[in-house]
Amino acid sequence: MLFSEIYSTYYKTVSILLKLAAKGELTEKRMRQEIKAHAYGESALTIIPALTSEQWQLMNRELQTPIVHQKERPYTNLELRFLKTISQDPRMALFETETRLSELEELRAVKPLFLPEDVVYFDQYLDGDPYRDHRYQEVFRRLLKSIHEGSAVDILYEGPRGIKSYSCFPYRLEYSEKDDKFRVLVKWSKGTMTLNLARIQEAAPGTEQAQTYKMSLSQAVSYGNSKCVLELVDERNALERVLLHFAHLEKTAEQLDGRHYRVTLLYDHNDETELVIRILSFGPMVRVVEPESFVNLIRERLYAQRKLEQ
Amino acid sequence: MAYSELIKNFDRIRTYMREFYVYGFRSRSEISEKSIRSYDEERRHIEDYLGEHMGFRIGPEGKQVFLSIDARSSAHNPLYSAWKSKSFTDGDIFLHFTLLDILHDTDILLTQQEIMERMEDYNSFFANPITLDESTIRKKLKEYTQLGLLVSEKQGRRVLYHRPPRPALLPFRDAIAFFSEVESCGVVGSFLLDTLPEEDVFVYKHHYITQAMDSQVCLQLLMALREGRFAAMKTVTRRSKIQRNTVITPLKLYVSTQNGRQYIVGWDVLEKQMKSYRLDYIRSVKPGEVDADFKEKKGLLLEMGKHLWGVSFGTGGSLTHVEFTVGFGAYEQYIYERLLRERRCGKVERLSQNTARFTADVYDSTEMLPWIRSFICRILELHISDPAVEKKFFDDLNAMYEMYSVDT
Repeated sequence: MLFSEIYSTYYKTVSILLKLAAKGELTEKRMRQEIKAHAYGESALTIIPALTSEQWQLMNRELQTPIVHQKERPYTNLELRFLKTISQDPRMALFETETRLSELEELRAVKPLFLPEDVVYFDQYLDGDPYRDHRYQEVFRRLLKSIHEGSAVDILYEGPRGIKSYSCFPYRLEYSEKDDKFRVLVKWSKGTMTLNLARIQEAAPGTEQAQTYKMSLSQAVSYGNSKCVLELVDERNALERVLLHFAHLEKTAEQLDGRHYRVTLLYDHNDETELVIRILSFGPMVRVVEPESFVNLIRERLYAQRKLEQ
Repeated sequence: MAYSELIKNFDRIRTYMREFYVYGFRSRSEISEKSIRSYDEERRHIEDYLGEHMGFRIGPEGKQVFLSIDARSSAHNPLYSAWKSKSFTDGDIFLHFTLLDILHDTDILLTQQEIMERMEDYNSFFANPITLDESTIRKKLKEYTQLGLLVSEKQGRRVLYHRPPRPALLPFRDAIAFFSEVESCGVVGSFLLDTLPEEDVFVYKHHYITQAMDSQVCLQLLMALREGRFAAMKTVTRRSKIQRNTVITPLKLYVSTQNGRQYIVGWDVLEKQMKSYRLDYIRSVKPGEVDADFKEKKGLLLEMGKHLWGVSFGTGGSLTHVEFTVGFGAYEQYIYERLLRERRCGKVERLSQNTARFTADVYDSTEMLPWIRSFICRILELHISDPAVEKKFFDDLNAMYEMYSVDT
């Protein structure tokens, strides 16, 4: 069963609090801090009184607990079956070094929830990365290690104008399900850039070993810095199609009247051409109204098409 | 009743999360799923779980609540947090920690009686100990054994309980983090991740997080599929929300990487044909008996799948031929490469240095129109053997010329 208290935020948080209580390190202030870090917005209002009033009988009013042997809970059958499922995915080979997940003793007799062949990504691009390629796997692992360490790597990269070498600090691996490709986000002497993993010929420990570099998620990702406003008529289920299609972007939608809607999308400027193509695919159900520069991008393509027809 | 952050049933929150995340422009009075009270309660729940992503604006019909999430800004799917909000009783949480504390090592094997005796030590810690009867403890032991949290084994007439061995997953943390985002039913990976130290190394592009809300339905269908079972489903129609019951043999899960929609494709037992059902329109799933003809049906889908552009089998089972030619400049070879990588079940033929032809025979050619439109400005020729669909393409194109004032 998926929806179970076993996996709940409350159980996880209480587990942390009990470990601290067992070590005699729990105070009411610490309790609030841990709840704020691990649970929901109003959880302190429930968890603290339930523990300190002895309602849950896990801790007394002095914040002492009889639960002194606490270890992490065992994994459920569902979790083990999920592990067995992912152990059969070709991308798993990227992560495995000494031990293979599928060879863990605890997973030997476990049945997978499903197999890779049971799921079809029907519109995924066909030129996905070569996950079984040994050189690719080595590059992936080197980059992953460097990201964890914050250490430098020297990369040989096959670009459009031949092979180039870069000394850089990788800070995130980016995966696109549509492209079925990994890219690596790196910092180098001229700023930041994104490199396709499949084009990296070699990745070796960097010469700038004395330094380390780490980046938080908010710094790592370039958020939607450009805006595009669409108006649409809800015919042929266009409203739902548009909203789902662009669900991964930060967006707002408003109803103008009966069947007309306005949708504002925030996108990364580097992805503009892709966005133009995606909007074109909705045909006359969707019209770009702002900014004018974006409207012109659509118009140019329509002009070019019209010219081909003449 | 006082407000509680925790919930008993996921169905209601599933509906509201979808409403706020996908749509986000309807006011309280326009969302008529249940009552005003249930709206207020679910809005508050979602605010608790996803507060930082929630916003509101005042529209003509009142306050409109929405969830706005840039999928790249989160290393983990934020919608998974709702799956971790299940309510429990005082007895549940007491037994969870006490039982696992008593059985803290895999080599501690105890009967229910022995467990209850040891529980006395825990009870004596409190002035007013909780009283749980024998049957409550028996039920919890049975539940935990079924879940896999405990193992029971017989020694003579005695039933002994102990912890199962726990695999060391730390070396696989990155893999679990990755698959919890990209694999179907990834929320289970998120449960695993909650037991491991946190460190994010991945970001995701074109990442659709809405699948999280349909995880239960997805899990049940995939499990039925793996066992070759029938599945009885309660579905709702898209517009009228009319509920209907149906029985299918699930054969494959079809997932779109371009809009996040998930479909179960299978043999509809009542309609006696291959069909696809969107997971977000499936309310519940009940696994049935094993289908003796599972392999044959799977083979049939394998054949039919060669002519599926998306998930529609069209009507009447006939195929439509689609053919179009695109042109590109000397420095635009990426257009040819685009055709190759996006062709799905179609074929691409290089006609000259600067032209290429795409052909496919599909059950439902209307599914192809959005993709063909993405080549606007390069289409030299287009023929669709279904004249109505071909006309639709050109009518739409003319409507776009008009819409953007593209004169002849």
